[in-house]
Amino acid sequence: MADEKQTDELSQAELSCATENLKSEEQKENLESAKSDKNKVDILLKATGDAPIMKKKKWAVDAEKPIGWVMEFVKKYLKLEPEEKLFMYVNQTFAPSPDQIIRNLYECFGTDGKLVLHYCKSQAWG
Amino acid sequence: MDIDTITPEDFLASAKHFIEISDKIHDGWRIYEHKNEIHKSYIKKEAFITFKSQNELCLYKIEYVIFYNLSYGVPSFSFNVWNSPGTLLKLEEIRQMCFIQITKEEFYSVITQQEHPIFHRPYFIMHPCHTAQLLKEFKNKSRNIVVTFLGLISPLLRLNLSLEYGL
Repeated sequence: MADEKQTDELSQAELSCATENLKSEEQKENLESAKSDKNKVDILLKATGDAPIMKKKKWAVDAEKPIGWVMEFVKKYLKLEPEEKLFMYVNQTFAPSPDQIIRNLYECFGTDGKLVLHYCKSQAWG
Repeated sequence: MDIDTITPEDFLASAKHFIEISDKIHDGWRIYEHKNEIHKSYIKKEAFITFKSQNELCLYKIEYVIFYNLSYGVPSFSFNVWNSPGTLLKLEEIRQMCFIQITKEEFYSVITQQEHPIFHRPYFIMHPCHTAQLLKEFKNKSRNIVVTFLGLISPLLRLNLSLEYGL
């Protein structure tokens, strides 16, 4: 996402304060993707079922990070209980294993310059 | 009939499609179709994996079976793991091979060793009680319900499902 003024890119250190940086995100979502920023991938997070929606849906994340890291972030962002499980799907069909690198997923499943991920939560496995 | 459940016909159709992809990428899944009682059809994969435990690289044989759970109306996942001398692994050893850190209580509440409904031999079977809830979210959107179902398992076990299944 093109967002030079205020970086809302995710990084380990910013994870905890990420929720505070979310005030004026609405207009930024309309901006064109930053093509120059090759190390970032745009992901679009969509809620499915009874999972809470996210006010900010579009995020630029480090392409080298695993998908499990995004899942951890969403869990924190949505303030899920520790016993609640989060599942992330591409194409509403396939849940990549948590160690999959986001770049791989983007190259396989990315559309219109972004990677769409559907998430849903469940009380438990099984 | 409860609309949340998957019919055996749906399961079999998805399973066949799953096998088609598997054949294309040589993933080793095979289908065992039961002509008269289609709910007894299942797909199976046997694989060898290596896992490092206590600084020792060990070889294991894993058998994954996805079958149709008639009581719950959903696909179910079962597996067995053997070490190289041929002994079945215990549940605790499997927990340590898990992808994620998971407590005993939680892991034991998800996976239980029980008699397999098709093979009538002991298998580790994942509890099916929450499967329907997840699958209903994707029921009419998913391209393949078996692939979607396997998403439930991939954080728990090293299934190494290829990205091709999602395409």
